[in-house]
Amino acid sequence: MKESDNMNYQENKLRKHLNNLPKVNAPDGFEEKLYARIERGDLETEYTESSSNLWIAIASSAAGLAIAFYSFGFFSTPSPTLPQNSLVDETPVIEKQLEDDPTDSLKTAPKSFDKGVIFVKDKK
Amino acid sequence: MMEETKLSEMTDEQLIKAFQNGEMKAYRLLVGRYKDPLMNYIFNFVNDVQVSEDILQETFLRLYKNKHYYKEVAKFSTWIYTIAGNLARTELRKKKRHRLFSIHNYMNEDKDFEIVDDGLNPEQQTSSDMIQAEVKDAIQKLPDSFKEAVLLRDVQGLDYEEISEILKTPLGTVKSRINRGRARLAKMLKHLME
Repeated sequence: MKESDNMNYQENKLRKHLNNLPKVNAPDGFEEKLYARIERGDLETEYTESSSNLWIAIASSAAGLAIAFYSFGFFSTPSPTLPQNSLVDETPVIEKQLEDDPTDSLKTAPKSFDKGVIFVKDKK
Repeated sequence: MMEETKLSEMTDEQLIKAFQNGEMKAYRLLVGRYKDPLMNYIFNFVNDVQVSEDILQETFLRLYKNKHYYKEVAKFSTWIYTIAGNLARTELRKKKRHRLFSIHNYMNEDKDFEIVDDGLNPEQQTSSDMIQAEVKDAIQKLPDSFKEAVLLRDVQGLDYEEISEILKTPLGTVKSRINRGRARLAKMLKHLME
């Protein structure tokens, strides 16, 4: 048997099984119950969303979102106590210290140094 | 009497129109036409007779309350199956949330419900019952999207276009879901396929 024939055979067999499932009909008295409810005006059921349920759902979702945002914000907001932030804050201070470095005068030789060198050379 | 005969000959779309114009008998005729096929569809979906009956009641109450929402652009059957399917899906989600759903409810159900007599002898009946129980279990194990597509096609006998409208899903996706659903069923029921 070809593969496609086999597939068709299986599909037909399966459809036969599905067609043979017992048919479940509406129970006796279903229509009477339905029309009695309609006549009483009893049209609300557990499937009808009440407005209070809707507000509860909205409030819980909002609370959940607020908690999620707060948690995320707590970890992502820069904190002055964290080491990387203190480094960032100190950077300008270091720069300022460099600008006013008291050892600046040592970075260039005094004018007398040149003279001294010249003096020694001249003596030779 | 004359008027009732006329109504009973009307199409579903003519009946809903008559109901929209205040004809209660048209509503009753629609309920009579759809209560059994819808009950079967809902039951195969949620696998619980009492819940199926509640959903069926709700479906017809919505038809009653929202009759003016129906527009003639769609078939009436598409509209009513959509309402029932949406309610059944909501119920399934609720059941899954509460983890109370049992795929064996069908076997343990005490409440009477009508099953059409297929005229088999007791031995054949037992064998047939076992096969049907296996097929039902396999259907319940399918993902919901495959299950509803297969049920609408192979149990309810609707055409692909109508299923596509009911599920608000493109035609190609519907065909794919039906094929994949059947393939999974065939795999689960391999021993019944030979």
